[in-house]
Amino acid sequence: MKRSFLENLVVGAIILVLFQTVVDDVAVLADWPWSIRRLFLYLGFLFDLFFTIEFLVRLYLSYVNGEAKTYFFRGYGWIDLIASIPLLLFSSGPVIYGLLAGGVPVFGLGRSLNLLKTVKIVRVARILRVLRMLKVVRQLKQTNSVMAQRHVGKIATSVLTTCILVFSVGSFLLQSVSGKSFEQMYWESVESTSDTLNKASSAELNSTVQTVARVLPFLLKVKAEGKDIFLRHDSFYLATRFGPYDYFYEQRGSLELYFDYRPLTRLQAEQSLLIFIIVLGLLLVLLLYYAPHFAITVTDPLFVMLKGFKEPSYNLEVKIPPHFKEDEVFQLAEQYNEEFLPLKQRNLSMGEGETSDLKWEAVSELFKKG
Amino acid sequence: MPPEVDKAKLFLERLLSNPMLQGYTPLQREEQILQLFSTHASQLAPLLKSNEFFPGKSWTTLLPILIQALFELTDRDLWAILEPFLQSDLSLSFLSFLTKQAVPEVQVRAQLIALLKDILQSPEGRRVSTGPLTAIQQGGCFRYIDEIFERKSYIHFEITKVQRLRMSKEEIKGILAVTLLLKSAYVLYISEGMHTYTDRIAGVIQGPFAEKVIRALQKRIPLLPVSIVESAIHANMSFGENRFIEATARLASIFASRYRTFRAGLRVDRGADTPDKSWFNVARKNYKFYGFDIKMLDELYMIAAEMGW
Repeated sequence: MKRSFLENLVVGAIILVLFQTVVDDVAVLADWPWSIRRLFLYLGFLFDLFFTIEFLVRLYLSYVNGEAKTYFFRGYGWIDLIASIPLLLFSSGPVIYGLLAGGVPVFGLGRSLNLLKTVKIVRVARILRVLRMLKVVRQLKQTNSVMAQRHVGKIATSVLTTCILVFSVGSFLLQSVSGKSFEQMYWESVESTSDTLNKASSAELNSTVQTVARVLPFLLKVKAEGKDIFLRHDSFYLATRFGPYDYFYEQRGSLELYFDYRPLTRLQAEQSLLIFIIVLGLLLVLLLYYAPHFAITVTDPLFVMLKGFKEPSYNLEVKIPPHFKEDEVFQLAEQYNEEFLPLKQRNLSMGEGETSDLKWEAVSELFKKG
Repeated sequence: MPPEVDKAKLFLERLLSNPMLQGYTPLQREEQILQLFSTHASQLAPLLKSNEFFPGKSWTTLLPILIQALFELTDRDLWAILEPFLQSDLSLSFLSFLTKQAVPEVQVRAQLIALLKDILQSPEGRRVSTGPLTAIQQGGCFRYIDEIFERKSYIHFEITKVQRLRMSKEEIKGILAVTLLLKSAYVLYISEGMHTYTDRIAGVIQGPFAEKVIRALQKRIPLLPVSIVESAIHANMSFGENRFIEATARLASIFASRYRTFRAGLRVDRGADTPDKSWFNVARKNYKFYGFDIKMLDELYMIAAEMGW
């Protein structure tokens, strides 16, 4: 009972965290107020913490029972690992640390802290959350058959893990081999803007800033010697719409530049949503199309035959769909229908192998209860 | 009544209320319990010998007590269903079609009840009545009559043209019910120990014995037309050995066999065919063994397949 409650809690948490991940991406794309997006970041951290604790507890308990290896390799422990600790360390952990530290120490110091890599890892690592869907698949009892559960689970694990890993690794590889990506162009613009404004004389600085701001929409703010000389949005808008990781800070001499980082975040959110939809689509196809097909063509006929072999009074035939009758399973089922069942019926009629439907276990219970 | 019988009834009531026996008629449940006694005697005996149940009683002493208690419980449940059926629900309107004169139905009903009570006195009579009485109680066989009359195929031809029962399907249902009720009556005229499981296979009884039983039954229920008695007793003969068996007898033979193991409300497993369709198909393979009419089985199989029964 307790175990069932905990399992249900975990499944509930997985569904919620997937929902949180999607809404988080939608919030970025729809430019939701920072206060709401911040809430989702905290939620993401709490979920990652929950799953990390869950993994460690499961690992510990399986270790105590001498089943750590079985849990890790056969019980999908490796998925629990990939979808917990790396996320806490590389995704929600750094984000929350940044927020608690006021944002600036981590996100505002620009390329000196290798912001690009950090944020990229954060976004890519988030995709691993989708792997948690597999944990839900494990819990789903799409059929009563252990064999069907295992087969569908294996296929789902292989397909989803491959899909997510290919996407994660592929996104890094593609960026290194492709020509000018949006991201590269972004950073080149930042670099050239910083250089241009830094080289401009004091007299020309204002007009140069205005010119650059017109062609570079992600230039947010320019400060020279501590004074604001350009402000794209008013301070209320900045305070309500921008979080610590929504802008990028660059300092060149006495010049301080703030760039809007959200275009890059949006791009990553789009990719994240896309992979989420692909994975969800694959999972739905596997669960709603492939699993029933597997059950109809493999496990259901086997189940009926097994029951017919085991239970003397069970005399239902295997239903053979005409378009699958050439399948080996259904050829076997035909033999069962045409040969075994009539023979069994004749034997029963002669009084051979007759048993009561009352199982002895149930009868002996009467004596235990008194 | 010995106090042990009451005690045995309490124990058996709990056994009978087991969910595994749900969907069975009283006689089927009785058979299941007797089967349990037979297969698990060695396990039951020491447990029932305990202080809580029947201290000190040996299995050989206890078994007759248990069987007596079981029969009494079964009769209570069985007659609670059969009595109203025989008193009023059973349609005897076919009598006037067959005799062309008014027949006192009340007396016929009373004679049927008395005969059935006699049949159910013996363990053999109870065993061979399980199939026919289950067919009546579950009522599933009557829906086939509706379909047979709808299709007007082989069985309809056999009933109306060959057996010349030119009457409505409601009358045919009545004839089928009485045929099923009387089917086991032959047990009243057999010597003890003569039959073991033979009611489930072809040629339970042979022609001369059947004629003897029919003559005896005619005296027992004189108000019932002889054709009905013949149909009931011929339902125990093999169609393979006697091609002139009445259509209603052949139908009763099939339905008695079908309903012997029928279980109401049985959940059909995914991947399995429906119960009736499965049973009729298996019976088609074994028709010679059981002495069934293969053409009737084919039609009943088609009906079951089309109706999803």
